Amino acid sequence: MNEMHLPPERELPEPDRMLAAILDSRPARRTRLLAAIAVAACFAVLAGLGIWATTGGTGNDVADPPANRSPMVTQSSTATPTPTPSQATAPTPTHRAEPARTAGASTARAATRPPAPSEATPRARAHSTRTPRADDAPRSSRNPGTSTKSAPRARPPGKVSPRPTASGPRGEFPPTLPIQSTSRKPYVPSSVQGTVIGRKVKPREADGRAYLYVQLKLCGSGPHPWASSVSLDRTGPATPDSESSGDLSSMPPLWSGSRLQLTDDQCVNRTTLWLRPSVSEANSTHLLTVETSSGVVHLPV
Amino acid sequence: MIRQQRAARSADWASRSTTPADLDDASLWLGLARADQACFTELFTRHNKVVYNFAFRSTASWSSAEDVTQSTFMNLWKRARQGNVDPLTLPTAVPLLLSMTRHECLNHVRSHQRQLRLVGRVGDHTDASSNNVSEWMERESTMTQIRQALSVLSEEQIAVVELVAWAGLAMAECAEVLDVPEGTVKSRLNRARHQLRDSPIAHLVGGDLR
Repeated sequence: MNEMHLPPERELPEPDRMLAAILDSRPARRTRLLAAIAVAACFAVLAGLGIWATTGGTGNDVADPPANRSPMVTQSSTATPTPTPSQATAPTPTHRAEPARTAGASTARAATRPPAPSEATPRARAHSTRTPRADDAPRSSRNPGTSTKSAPRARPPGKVSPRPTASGPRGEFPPTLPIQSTSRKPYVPSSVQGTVIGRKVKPREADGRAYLYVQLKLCGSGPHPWASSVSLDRTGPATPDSESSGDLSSMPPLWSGSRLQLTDDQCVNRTTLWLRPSVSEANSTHLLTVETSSGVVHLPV
Repeated sequence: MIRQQRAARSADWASRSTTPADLDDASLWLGLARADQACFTELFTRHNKVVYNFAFRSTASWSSAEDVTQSTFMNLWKRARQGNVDPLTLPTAVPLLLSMTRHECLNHVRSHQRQLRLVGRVGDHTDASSNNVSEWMERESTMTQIRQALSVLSEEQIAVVELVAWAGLAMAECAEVLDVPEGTVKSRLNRARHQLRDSPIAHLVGGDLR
């Protein structure tokens, strides 16, 4: 049996170099600390730049999107309630008007400014281009087969941006916004849009009779659109419960005579109607005409 | 008594009347606790060979032994900077250093096994450019065979053999390092001898009992 012996000891190769490496570990730690501080500083600078850009910087016109401008411009652009496609794409000087920032604008901006509001006030332009409100309803009634649902719309109902002037091309929807703080009475065009969310023939629990159960979504552009009447084809008023014992409390405000309370996006998201045609009528397609204070909408149900 | 001795050593070192090379390990250790670079340098110079060879006998690899040695002293210096150096209870710093080296060896072996698995897929790699490669490889091969023969022992017995029979620590010092009674060290060493009595490395565990 061959005995094995421990290998002889040997010196550590280059001990001075190892010792220097160990002792130099402290500056390496400092380097890591400095690198961490530098990275943190870079993040802070980037965050500051992001905040600066978000808040619009120091008044630079380029960094200021139209969405941040005053609603007065929005009102002036509402003079065209339903712009044509050419109008929608053509740049209008009213969008460049910025009365609230004119005082602080630079000379370069002043040179490119559009004519002052005094040359053509929003109200004057609005009256010069808008369709009279009294004509809205007859015009709609002259075309009973065309509801606003099928009409070309600038945007789908229910998708209203908080700042509509920046939500699409210039001249696009919406022409108006309710102005909260102004002494001048804003121009409010009349328009209403409706969408049939649901349609079903089912019996009501109140009387057990078959009703046409319709759910509508109405979007009005006025400050307080409310429905005045609803008719179904030419069969007369389709007010629910006209033949039943009442139960108006379950009806939405549309039928109780009170005004519709709009949500923030100026829409009545889900208005339930209990219509009362006969069962045979209920199973066929009808044209629901809703007259509101903002206009008339025809909906095939 | 011990406190008085430490205070005297500290005062002695504070007066700077002697160089670190003249101080014993206990005084150097006190200086190390204050993150004194000169004390650390002296401790490194004094004990790096012991640590290095102990690491080699544990890892059977010269390069690993270098890594372990550097890691051991690096951690010691790091703890000294943090003011977290364990107090030295023995007159010499070797047992404590070997204890730290032993832990570093275990960590290194674990990580090295993962590395070997990776390298094994690629293929064996030998640094042919090194000097005395054949001699180094032969020593490593011998040490590997010794480690294999030693593998019949338990981990506790191997630790006692490494510390007492190979590193030359006293029974009391080994007991201090392993944090076991001195009698336990003796019994473990005796069992190891008994188990290795027919082994080619039997003579390697027959060190004098002190």
